[in-house]
Amino acid sequence: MDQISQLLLAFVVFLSLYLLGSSSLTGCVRILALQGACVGLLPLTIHEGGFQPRALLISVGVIVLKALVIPRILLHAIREVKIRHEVEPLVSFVSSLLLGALLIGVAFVLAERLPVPGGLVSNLLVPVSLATVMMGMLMMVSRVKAVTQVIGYLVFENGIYLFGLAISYELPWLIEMGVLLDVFVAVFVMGIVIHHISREFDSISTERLTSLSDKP
Amino acid sequence: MNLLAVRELALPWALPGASFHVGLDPLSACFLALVLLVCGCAGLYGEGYIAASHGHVPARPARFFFLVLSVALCFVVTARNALLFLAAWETMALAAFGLVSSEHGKPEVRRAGLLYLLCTHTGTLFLLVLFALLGRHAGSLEFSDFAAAAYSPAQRTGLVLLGLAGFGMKAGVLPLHIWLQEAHPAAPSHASAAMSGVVIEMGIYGLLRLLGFVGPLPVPLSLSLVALGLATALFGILFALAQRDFKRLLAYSSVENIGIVVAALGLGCYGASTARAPLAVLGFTAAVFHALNHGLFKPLLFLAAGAVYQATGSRDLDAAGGLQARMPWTGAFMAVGAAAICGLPPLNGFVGEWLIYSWLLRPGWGQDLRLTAPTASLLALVGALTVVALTKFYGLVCLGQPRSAGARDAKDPAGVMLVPMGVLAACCAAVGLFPAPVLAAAVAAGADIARVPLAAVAPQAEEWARLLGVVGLLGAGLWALGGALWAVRAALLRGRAVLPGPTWGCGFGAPSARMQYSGSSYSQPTERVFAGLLATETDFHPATGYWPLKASYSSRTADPALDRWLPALADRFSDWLSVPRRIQHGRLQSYMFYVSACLVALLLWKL
Repeated sequence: MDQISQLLLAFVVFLSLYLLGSSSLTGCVRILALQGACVGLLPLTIHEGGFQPRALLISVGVIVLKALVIPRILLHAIREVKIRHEVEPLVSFVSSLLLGALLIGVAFVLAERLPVPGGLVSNLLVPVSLATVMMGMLMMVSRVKAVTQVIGYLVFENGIYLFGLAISYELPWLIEMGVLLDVFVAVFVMGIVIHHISREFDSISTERLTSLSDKP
Repeated sequence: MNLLAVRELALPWALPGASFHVGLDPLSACFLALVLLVCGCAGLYGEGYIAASHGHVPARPARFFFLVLSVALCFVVTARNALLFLAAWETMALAAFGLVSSEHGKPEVRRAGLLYLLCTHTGTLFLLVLFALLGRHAGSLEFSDFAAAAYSPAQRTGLVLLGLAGFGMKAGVLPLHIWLQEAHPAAPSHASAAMSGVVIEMGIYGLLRLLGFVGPLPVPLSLSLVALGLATALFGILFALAQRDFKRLLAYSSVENIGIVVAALGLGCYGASTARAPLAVLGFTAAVFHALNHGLFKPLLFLAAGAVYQATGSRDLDAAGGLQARMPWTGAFMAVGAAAICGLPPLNGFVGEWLIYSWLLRPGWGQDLRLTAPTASLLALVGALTVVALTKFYGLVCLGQPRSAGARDAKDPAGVMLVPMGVLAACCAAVGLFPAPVLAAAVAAGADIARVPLAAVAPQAEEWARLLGVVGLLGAGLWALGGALWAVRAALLRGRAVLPGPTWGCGFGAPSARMQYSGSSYSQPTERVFAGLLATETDFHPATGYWPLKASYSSRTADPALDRWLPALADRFSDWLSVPRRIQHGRLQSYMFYVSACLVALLLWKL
């Protein structure tokens, strides 16, 4: 079990990095789906007590949402709004990757100092979750298109979910569902926003929003 | 003097640090009497004014705000708790804003209202800091604790400078007067009367109250107060002189009077700084007395100006003229107010200035000649310029021939508007003739501010009262002399026909109203002397050639603080702020970057 957890966590970080270096939008969504699947499998393996039926329930729910439903919605949005299929980075892919690596380092430093509850199989869980959160942020900050913002947000959320796993037996699963619902709503809202941006500005580039600045 | 004994009422209030604590000491009593008199008169006049404005002044909001203003003013002068005071102060400021913006259909009124709101809130900001500091130092927000606390000289300086910024904004001390000349013309006349008569006096009240808390100031600060007062007075009267809008002229004249009051207050502070009780008490007494006087004659003039405005439909001096014959009552009251503000003997203005001059000129109290000589001469200059400005006002409005159709058909307003003017004019005359009761109240207030027991200055107070009694008698003699001369004239003219001729006729066969002095030509010689200070912009196209078709002359004297200094300062600020403004550019990604960088930095720092 221990090895599987470590492997899945490493895979999550690797996928985040891959996402930062990827230049194709549909590719990004597929990677996101894969990351969602990895994250979804983790509850089954992560706790010392071993396999529990409740974990299976959470796991199935997460995989369905994160690996199937949300990527479908995103792919549909990309098709419908006729977004061109490449990522427009503000920070080059190489620099993004380097920054991502740096953030992983920062995440490990932070995790060292962060007080976390015991009872986890893998000591990688907290640093990986922090790294995922930060790389999601980096994704949101460094990409132009609105749909990449959504992807960044979802990566960010995966990180939060991983962090939540560290205390999942203390959390009633209603809250877990609440988090998922949150994400679901967020994706919908973002989808609508993207749709509106593309309708009003003939583009889904958030850079066009600078025309809303009060600068003369 | 039973009325002036301290009376208090304290009730608990749910706010922390606050209590509903009101009290009446001599200083409060002086100003409360003024508030009640002026608000009563102005309110009564306002009813007539609203009715006669034919819907230009909306009746309900004007009444509502005026009543709120009156109540708030009563609480400002009686509050004994900082929070209650600030609450009353803000209510007063907001009600006055509502009054100023009564005719908000006009863009210049909206501009004046917003300017006033900005200024008053800036002032309140300083007051908040002032009272917070006082409260921290004294350990409570009660005025009695403020007065009981001991302050170091540095603290006194700091607190008084803060108070000068906060209260000076309301009173209209030199660079902070910018809202006065805009808001007073914009407001309906009864509101201008209440504002110039009592609202700006609240700034003086606040300063006096503050000086009563902190005790004697360092000598340089007292002298700076005198200098600031004189500068304000000179500035105010010079710009009053250059105005064509008569309500603006009166507003600038308020600035001048506030300057005189601040100068008197500075003289009192100087007396306190050098530990000479009679000088301190006399200075503060003169400040209170002149403030009360200004609260009588300025509302009177504003009420009369409002009546003229409604009768002629214009605030332009060059559109009025000849109104003494057409509006005899208004003209007479206006003459009384103008004479009082000039400090002419039988009226109250003279008494107030006499107190200041006796501070400066009476030998034997060890005044420093280096202070008194320039102060007295500058005050005299201000007095002379006041005469020029107010004769310009009264002469152009009331004498000569009407310069417009509106002035030709003008009539006295209804009795409800005349009676308040009459009451105020009677007060001006009464205080001039019998100054003793008001003087006694002002001396009690002055002694309180200077923290000198009344008994310690009793001999001096008696002497002032005696001299002022003589002054009153002389004034009465002057009235009697005038009456006697009138009787002689009537006796000599009995049985003869008196032919009225056109004013400014001078034997010329066909004089026209346009040949009279205009506002600009009357004050032109004086303006020329002070051209460097006034910086009047003129636009002059002289008549040329043998058959000139066109010639024109126009002049405009902009307020330097509002139109030159403030924009320059604002530009400088805007330049400084352009650096931090760069981070506000509308790029979503960067905003998210700020947030996340901030979060990560906080995590790294705190963990």
